[in-house]
Amino acid sequence: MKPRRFIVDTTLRDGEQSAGIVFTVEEKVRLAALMDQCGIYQIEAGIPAVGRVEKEAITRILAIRKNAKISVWNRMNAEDIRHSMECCPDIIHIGVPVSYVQIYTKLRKNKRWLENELLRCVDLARSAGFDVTVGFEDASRADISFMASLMKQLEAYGVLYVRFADTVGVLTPGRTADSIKNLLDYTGMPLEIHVHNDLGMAVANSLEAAKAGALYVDCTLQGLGERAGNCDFQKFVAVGERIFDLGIKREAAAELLREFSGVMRMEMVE
Amino acid sequence: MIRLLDRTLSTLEYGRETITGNKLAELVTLLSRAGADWVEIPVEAYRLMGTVPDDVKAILRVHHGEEAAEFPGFDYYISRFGEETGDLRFIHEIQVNDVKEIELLKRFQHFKYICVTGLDDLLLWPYAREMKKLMALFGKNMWFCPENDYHCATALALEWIAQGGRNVGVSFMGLGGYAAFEEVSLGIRIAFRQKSGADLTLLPRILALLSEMAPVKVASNKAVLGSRIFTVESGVHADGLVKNHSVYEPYPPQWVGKERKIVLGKHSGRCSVRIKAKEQGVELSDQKAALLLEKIRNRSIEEKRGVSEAEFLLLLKEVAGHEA
Repeated sequence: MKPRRFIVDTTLRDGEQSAGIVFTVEEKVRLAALMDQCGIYQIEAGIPAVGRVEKEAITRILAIRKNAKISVWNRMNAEDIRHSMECCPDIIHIGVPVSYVQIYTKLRKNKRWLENELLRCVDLARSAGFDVTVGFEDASRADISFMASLMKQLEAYGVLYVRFADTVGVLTPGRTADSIKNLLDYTGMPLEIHVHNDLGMAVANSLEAAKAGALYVDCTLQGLGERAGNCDFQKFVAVGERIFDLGIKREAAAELLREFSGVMRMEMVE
Repeated sequence: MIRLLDRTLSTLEYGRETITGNKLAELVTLLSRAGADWVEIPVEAYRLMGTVPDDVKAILRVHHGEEAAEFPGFDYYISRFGEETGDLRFIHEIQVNDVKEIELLKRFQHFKYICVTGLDDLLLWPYAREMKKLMALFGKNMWFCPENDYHCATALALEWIAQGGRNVGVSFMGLGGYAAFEEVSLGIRIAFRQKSGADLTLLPRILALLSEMAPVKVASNKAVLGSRIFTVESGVHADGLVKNHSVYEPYPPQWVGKERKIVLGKHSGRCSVRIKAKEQGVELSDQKAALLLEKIRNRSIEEKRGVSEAEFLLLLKEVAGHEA
């Protein structure tokens, strides 16, 4: 029997963050329904802090889904998380920058501040009864011992699993496998892989992460996403299915891709 | 020492009027300056060119080994058929479609130069072990030219180098189903931190020239070459990029002859709004930046697209009044 791996689709969040891309509420709901039907394990439905329309899409997706888990993305701050809690998602995902360039240059803070703030945010969501996952942004350029130490603390706070993000798309398959294996060996906490395609290796890096033990693999339809995009769902499934059980139903996936092509034909008109 | 063999010319369909000797000569010169250590030139292209430009190291692709003698003067010849004649350096190209076939390659061990093409599925296996097997069989004179049916060719090319391989075959944009020249070239610089004299700012020129010769389509988010890969809307990203480009970019856009552009839309943040307003000479207060951002997001959602420069200027005027 092939080992199981789970697809997390982030078209409606990271995909929509691509410049010039906006999905209507109707499109989001329709795409989410088709994602659910084709066996995608988790749908990252959006960012509640963006506003009312985004929240409407998320709550409607929650109302119609049958099997897929619905997660929402948050920056590491209490205000974002309160917006998310209003939507009552299955999973509140909190993104935390973990590389030194992100901590010291972007946030202009330090590691101690980051740890405290992260745990405060996790506690806010967990205390309200929500399942929480945490995304390590720019993990591919971060200190692995710092990430391992954070994971130990997050496990104690009841975080389900951690997303390892190659935010700027600089990983190679070998480095991906090493990082995933090291974190799994040290912490035992489940991992999700989230990669970008800046060097054309998103499918390969996702595959290698899954081979190394990452349970969850982030994809987007047509590889939509920041800059050169994310791991392309269709390509990853075509390759990944040869060695993993991804739980994807082919006919429903084909319908999802057809629907999405229609949406994107309208999107790409400049 | 890493050596890139570019096979772009071998992927073109000859007989088109758009493919001329002058354009081919310019293309191989540009590819060479952009980092191709060797350029594979098929006989059809060589006939059009008449000669190989100075400073370009060329490998002639012949239909069969015996044909090589008709075109003296090349450092290497390559073909899938026939044997070398005389003292010419002949690279035997062997197609390998399945990892299990690697064991069968022992019978080719006597060849001095060999190019293994294919192995699309290598990444599904313990690829490092299989690559070591190939290296043990053929040593440093082996060229590896991974194919892309499994969308992993660029990764395989770079892992070949990481495992100690020296020679890799690629093509511009991955034409013909190989690893993409521009991705591998940039990957060597970024992932292995190897500096070379390669001038990657030539990539847009190469793309433009190739587009004149063949029906080439480039997705707007194609790695390295896409027209929108450095267009930023997300507020979080714009904020980070202003502080330091390396926060959200793997390399400066200028490396590959591009420029960053910040645009506005549903996912913009106050930082982007302030940057765009400042470009117009307007400094916005927190309150006005928040108000303008709300208007931009609403417009983007209503129109289901990003907000254009003209629309932004109108919204800025609404919010900032006489200051704008």
